[in-house]
Amino acid sequence: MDVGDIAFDRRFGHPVVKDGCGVFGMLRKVDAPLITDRMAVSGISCIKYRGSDLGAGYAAFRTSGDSGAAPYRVQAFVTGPKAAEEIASTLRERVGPVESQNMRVVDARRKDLSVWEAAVSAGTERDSAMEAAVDSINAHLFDQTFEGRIFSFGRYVTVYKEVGYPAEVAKMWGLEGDRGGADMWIAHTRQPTNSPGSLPIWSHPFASMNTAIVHNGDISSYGSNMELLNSWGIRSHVGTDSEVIARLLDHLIRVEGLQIREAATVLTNPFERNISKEMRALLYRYRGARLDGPFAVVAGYADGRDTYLIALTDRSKFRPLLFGEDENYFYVASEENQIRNQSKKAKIWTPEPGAFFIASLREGLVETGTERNTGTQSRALGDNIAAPPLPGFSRIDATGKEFRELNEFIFSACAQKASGVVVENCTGQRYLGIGISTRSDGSSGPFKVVVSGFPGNCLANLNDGASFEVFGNVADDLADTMHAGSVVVHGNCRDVVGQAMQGGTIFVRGTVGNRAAIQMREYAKERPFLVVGETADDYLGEYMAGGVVMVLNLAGSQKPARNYIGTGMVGGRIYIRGGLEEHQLGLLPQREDLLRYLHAQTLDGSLSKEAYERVSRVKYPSPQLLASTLPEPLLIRVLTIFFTTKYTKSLVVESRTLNQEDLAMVGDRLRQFCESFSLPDSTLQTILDSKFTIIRTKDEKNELLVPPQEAQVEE
Amino acid sequence: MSRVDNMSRGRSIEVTSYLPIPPARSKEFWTKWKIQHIRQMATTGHATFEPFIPEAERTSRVLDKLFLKEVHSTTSSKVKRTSLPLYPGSPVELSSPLYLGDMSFGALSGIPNIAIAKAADATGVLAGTGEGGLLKEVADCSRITVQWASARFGVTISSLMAGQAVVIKIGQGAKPGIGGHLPGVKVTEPISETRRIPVGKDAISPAPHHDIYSIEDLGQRILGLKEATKKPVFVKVGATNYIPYIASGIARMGAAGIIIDGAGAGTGAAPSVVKDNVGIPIELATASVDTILKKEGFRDRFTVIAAGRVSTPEDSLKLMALGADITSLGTATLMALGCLMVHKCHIGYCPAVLTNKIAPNQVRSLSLQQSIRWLVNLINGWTDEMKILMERMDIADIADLRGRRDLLYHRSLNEETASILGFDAPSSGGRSDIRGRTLPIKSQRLWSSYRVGILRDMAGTTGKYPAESEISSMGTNNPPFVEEPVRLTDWLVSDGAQVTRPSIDPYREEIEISSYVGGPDLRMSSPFFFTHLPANAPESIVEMFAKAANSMGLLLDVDKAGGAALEPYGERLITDIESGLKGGVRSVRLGWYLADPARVQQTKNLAGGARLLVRAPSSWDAIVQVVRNAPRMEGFSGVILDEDEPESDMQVEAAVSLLDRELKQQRLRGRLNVMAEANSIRGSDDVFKMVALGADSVGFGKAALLAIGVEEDDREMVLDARASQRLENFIAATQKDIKLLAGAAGISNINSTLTGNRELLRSIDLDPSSRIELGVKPAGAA
Repeated sequence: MDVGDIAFDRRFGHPVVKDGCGVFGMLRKVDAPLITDRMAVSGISCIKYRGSDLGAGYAAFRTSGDSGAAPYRVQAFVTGPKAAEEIASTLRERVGPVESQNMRVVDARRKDLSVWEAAVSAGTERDSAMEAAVDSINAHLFDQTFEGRIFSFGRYVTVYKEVGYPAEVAKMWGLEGDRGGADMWIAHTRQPTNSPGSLPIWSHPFASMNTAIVHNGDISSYGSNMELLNSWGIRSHVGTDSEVIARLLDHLIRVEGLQIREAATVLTNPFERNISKEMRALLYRYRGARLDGPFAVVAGYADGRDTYLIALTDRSKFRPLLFGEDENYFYVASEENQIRNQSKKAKIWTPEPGAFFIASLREGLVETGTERNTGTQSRALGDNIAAPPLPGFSRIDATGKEFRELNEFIFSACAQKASGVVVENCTGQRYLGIGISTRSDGSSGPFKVVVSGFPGNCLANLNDGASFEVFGNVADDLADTMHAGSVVVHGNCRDVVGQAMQGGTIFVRGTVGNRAAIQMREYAKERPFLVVGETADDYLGEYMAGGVVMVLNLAGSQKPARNYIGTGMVGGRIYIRGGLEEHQLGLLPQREDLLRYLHAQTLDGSLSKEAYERVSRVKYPSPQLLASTLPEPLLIRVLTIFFTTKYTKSLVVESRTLNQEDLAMVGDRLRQFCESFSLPDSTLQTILDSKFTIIRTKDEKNELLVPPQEAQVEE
Repeated sequence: MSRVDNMSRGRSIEVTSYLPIPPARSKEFWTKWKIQHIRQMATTGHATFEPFIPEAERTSRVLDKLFLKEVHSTTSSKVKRTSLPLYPGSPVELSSPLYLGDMSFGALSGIPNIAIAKAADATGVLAGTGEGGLLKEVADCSRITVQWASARFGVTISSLMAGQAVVIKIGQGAKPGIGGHLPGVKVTEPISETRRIPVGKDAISPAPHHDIYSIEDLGQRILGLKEATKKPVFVKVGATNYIPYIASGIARMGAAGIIIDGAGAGTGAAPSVVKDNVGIPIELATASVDTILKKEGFRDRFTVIAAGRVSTPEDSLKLMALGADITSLGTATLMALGCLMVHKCHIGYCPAVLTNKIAPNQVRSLSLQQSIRWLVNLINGWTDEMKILMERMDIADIADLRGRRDLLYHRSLNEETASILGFDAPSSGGRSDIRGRTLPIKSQRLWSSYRVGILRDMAGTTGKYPAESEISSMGTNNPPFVEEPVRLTDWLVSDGAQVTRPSIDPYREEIEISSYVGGPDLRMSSPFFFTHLPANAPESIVEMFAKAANSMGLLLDVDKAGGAALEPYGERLITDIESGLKGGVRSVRLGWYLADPARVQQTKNLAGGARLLVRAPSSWDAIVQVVRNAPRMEGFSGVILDEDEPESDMQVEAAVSLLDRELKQQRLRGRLNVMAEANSIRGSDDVFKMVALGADSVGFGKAALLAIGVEEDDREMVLDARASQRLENFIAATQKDIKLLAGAAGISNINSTLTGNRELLRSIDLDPSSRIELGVKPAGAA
């Protein structure tokens, strides 16, 4: 398609472009060598399956310690010399001298589109003039038809983006080998839902003066964010939420003068219940800049004084994001292999929902993105574990192989009634063993799949009887809809472990991410078990309708599980070793709303001032505390208005050691867990001596596997 | 033989004939004519004598304004071919381009599920099975698809292999972005068996798939299911704002096709507020999807199945001419099985025994043999009638119809809608301009019995579930589709998150709806408040509202009409500065302020620490004056647009949108709140849309009075002892409604994300000048 043919349909206002993708970021430490082109390219091209041939890009940050005095480096896509001349003359007129102009074709398939680059010399006092000039140039060149667009205009950032897979784009721009080098890179591979003409202007990174970002997600606040930018005088947009994020971040830091940490807080949009009064004022002030919807953003910011690698995740952490650190570098990635390919030894961890990561060239690690998983031994559990020798198992080296080839190997061994296979050096291949069945047809006996390395998403999905053992970390969506069999993970697991699991056992030595055991359920005589050695993130046991989850917290974290535990739970049990705070359970009303209501009841004497004092003193007034404090008519009102809906069950929480009944159910599994990971007897004893927080629904029967009852009468 | 079959053959009475159609209680899309039309085909197996929808049966639905072009001299010797492959290159040939909706075992009571699958087998079409697992009799049929939905009910590797294709269900037209909930009492043994879930425990389908939060996640699952089953994969979505993009993305991700379910589609149970306000009609979705698929080069290797209110063979052909390959019959199949459209599916007592609770010892049950007969006849009759229409259009092969907009013409569509549908010629018709609209408060149609019924149920004045959102079944009859719009908000629908981002379950996950006035210190629990009640409201009622505003964290605008009894709630009152009443928020009338701006300094002193608002009528003049004076309005927290002021000359939603955008242009919106109020604002849906149009918060009054059972005509307005509890219930239920709408759209914070986010709204066939004034895009536009 010729560029000239591309008409963006603007009949009904600003069109929107939606995409998903993979992200990467890498920052060197102050004494470490520069990051080469090759490292940046390999960090993103190893996950090209997350993206498509419709866009990829890189941004390199190179600083010289000049404290903001370097000339602007302006980069634009142009359809010809006329557009280039317009850009140059406008910049000359409104900003400063335009030097070292250069125009060339980057994508040889499209000779009618060139990249124009130049340097514009001006001091930081010209920043706002520069920004305004860029906006008016862009608005003019990309109105009804596309004539060109400035895609980067910072002093320290250079953007290399085009239409194609990451490796192709790198080649077009000549990003190859060990030359070049930068303090920091961010990179992206793009998966658009639609692609209006496939111009490189929709490829990431998106840059705005000191900032460049890559993004994976879909911002539901896009409409309000756009309105804020418009009111800040930024009018020209290509129609993606990603560009909007770049503009917001840059403006908040550079123009509004927020600290990087503050700007990151505004964008990540923390829950009201978790923030201080001062923070609330900041968030109110910049409410149009707050992001909602799923996102994993990797951003770079360089102002000449320092260079920052920033990563943000939304309040529910809906998009994958991992952090890594080794002797020389910090990493941010969508998947583990992006980091492991560079550094076998890197420590890898994941952010908590709504958290952010900040590291800088001069200051090092500023924000880890987690309160818990970094610095503890659990963080490194899955790093470099070797699988034991397994005689009689056939082996396949996964290096460079597609998942289909590995699955063919696994399934043919299973069909031949082998005792098992070993998949070695797994580097993120997905779907291993999907749909494997070793019992329903009766044709095969026990079958084991041993994986060393780090398998990708959807391992052991629909598993119906096979045993999996992983020596390494496991990505998202482990054992979705598993009916029988077992999975043993020697490292950590990411999000959504055991979704809709209906039988069998999962043992995870380390941590699990969000929504572990979501929709776990019992059916007929099958009861599923998930035992986690360390900790769990948000929404543990969400919608659970049966089965048992245990979080053993072996390293003794202060927070064995995070928030919204057991929300929407209708059956089953959760055992968490150690204590929890009341507000971590389920979904509770805002404390502020609840206390206002109760305070209002003191006006007419429905509630005594003393009783109000009692419930308002605590960090969160639990339903139990309310039940023991409020007079009954008021309690019923409070429960009706704030707590109960016909959709949720109230949870019963106990804190105690395991009793005989518990042990009858979980004792064997605990022993097996310890055996699986060669934990000493003393560990088992410690577990048995410890207090657990035990969560179940009110109507959960003690004997779990009850015979189906006669149907009850309609409510 | 399954338990369900046993149940039906026990001592129960077999239903083998249709019940008489009861008169509809309010305006209904599925009119008596439509039901009889279907019954006739289902009885005879042939076309009716009335293949074209009569003029009187056409609603304000866009599809009803489209007509098939008849040709006068037909070459009628041509063979009429209606068969086509399931997807391009598929070895499976459908005898007719029909798909029988995705209705689950659980939503339907078993016999209908079996009859649908067997009828598909007998006629050579295809049946979806919904997310209820497979009854043995259904699994034994070959012409079925198997659903992979968010809860994975009934899914095993072998059940996935049972059909011709796997359908990943992302959403449905009746409630895009909303999950499902089957109460534990309905999870009987047969349900437990097919769904593989515990007996007696609530069966919840999460709103999103928790492994699919984006297009590449969906791609991952499509590929995974293809890897596991080697079957083609279809993706079913509700039609929402970004449907063209979503369809293009699904095609790119390697699916064989898409099932698009439009607004107004049937459902066993859905929150009314979502059913009535989320999603766009199938005709607009189909046309814009066809356009983008062609543009991106996917059209010829991808199948589009259009669903949602396909009510006659004429509908099927028109949707195909707009770009569908296949149309889906859902509610229509139920009609053929005797559905009376009484909207009672969720109650469990279906008079036609289609959706009744699945339990042994039913008194009546549907005859399986008769059901199969009816459905086979329906499919044959439908196909026959399509052939007759094809003949009238001189089309020999159904494949020649797809995407042929030139075979349609339209009447009274505005030119924008016509252009979205792909028509070149501008329309001669069109709708009235925004300025010509009367203020809605004058309209009796504002308070339909349907609406008032919902308000009362929410308050617990009637119904079983106080303080809850209303649940109902089958398709909506709300404006602009069936009922005539009254307010501008009636033309607008809200977004439902499908594929590109996850929706949020408001009952189990956090959605923040708080709002602020004049900064973070005056926090409201909700983005709504009470406007001043109608002038005849007695003081006792005003006091009750003040009390509720205080305890539930809202505000009450008393303007000048308060007394000493309101004193304790002062912080939560909006009072006119001239009234001498204390209030946490004080207002001055725009005219009063403009007469002598210097007076404001004095009154600011008078107001003490209270926030100060300018009260303006909902009018052009007022907006112009406010914007002109805004830069000088230091010390003011915002503007309150009051449609009940006598000078108002426009609907307040239009005023809100204009003022919000103007203040943003002036960079003053960050400092000035925009609040809107009117007694004609009918509750949660109006509030939600007006916040999206630019208001920080929205005030209503009469809606709450009606909810708690106080009639305005009733001069006495006697207070029931439970009235104040009802008012609290109503507030709590309204909060839940707002969370439902926010969650459906994937919004977790109203204040930051919804306010002024017009991108979340779409207009349906609204005249262009009003649409532009509201600042929203038309449905189906990119």
